[in-house]
Amino acid sequence: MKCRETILYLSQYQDGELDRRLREEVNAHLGECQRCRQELRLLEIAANGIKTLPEVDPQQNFTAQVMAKVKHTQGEKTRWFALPSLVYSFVFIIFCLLGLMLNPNLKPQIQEPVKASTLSGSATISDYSALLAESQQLNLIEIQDRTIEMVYNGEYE
Amino acid sequence: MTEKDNVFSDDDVVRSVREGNTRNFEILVDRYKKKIINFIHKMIFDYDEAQSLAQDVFLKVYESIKKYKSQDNFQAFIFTIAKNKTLNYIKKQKRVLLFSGFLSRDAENRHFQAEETQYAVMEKHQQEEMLTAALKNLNENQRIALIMKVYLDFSYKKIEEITGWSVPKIETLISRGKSNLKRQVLSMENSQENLQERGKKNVLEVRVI
Repeated sequence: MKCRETILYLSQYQDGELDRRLREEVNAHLGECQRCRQELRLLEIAANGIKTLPEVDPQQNFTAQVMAKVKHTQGEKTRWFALPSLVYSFVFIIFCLLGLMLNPNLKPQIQEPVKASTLSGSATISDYSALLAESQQLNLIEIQDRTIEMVYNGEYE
Repeated sequence: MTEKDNVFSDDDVVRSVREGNTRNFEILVDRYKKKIINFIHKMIFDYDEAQSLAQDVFLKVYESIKKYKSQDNFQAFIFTIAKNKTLNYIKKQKRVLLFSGFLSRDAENRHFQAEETQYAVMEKHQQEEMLTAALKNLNENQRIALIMKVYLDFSYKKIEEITGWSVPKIETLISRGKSNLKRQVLSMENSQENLQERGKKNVLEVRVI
């Protein structure tokens, strides 16, 4: 193994994350190369510095504070899901009903029935065609059927 | 934490908490608080914020304890939450700085501030502060990977579990992190030596005068 390759593996070598074969190769190179040994030593100084940084201690009442927050969360959950669930359901139903009542598109529309008289008497074929088209537009199947029946029966001049 | 508490595994305690024994969550807090606080502290370098963030971490752990799958690694579970909370905090801090106009207003001063900090560090002759300063200059991901590997002694595999990064990415982050740290520490040491030499020279000049 050459220096360039060894340097690439030095960090993993230091962390003990190299497989056996590579570790042995790096080991062998380090045995004969002072420059790489020096590089490894510098990496160790830098990395070990993190270990030497002083540790901080948790505040004395840390656990108590966390547990108080946990209990508070539990209390909130109870308030949000147990007690007002009925209230929320009630409000939801009221809103739904109001929505239904106030929506203009959902108001029942009364269709004017087509008078039978318009389909009889001295109506011409064009009148019937017009009525048929109109009835198709209105999707009034009943009237369509009636019109077709009248055309069939020859009830036009 | 009593000795009896140590008998139970993390998974035992989690099971008990899920069954409604909320008080047992205390065992997990006591077991992990020091590691979590120190991990966060080494990321953000603010003692009070580290305490506050660590409390949030435990609260989040409690809230999402149902999502934790038994026989998973609880340590990985809690450190994943700690890592996410810490990164969110750092992002938020950066945004606050950006919006407060700090960067634009003080952009010019920053160089001098950095230099001042460097000199202050050198004056104190404290390797500890030099390392902290060097660590601060690493990017967040390099810092996370390095702290997890060097301080918490996690394997690359465990770091992968916690962060979701691939092992090759972790290798690169750690390797680059160490190199950057080494370079910065060396340059700080050189500056320190220069300063000391300059100091000696000044003393000599004063004596000559």
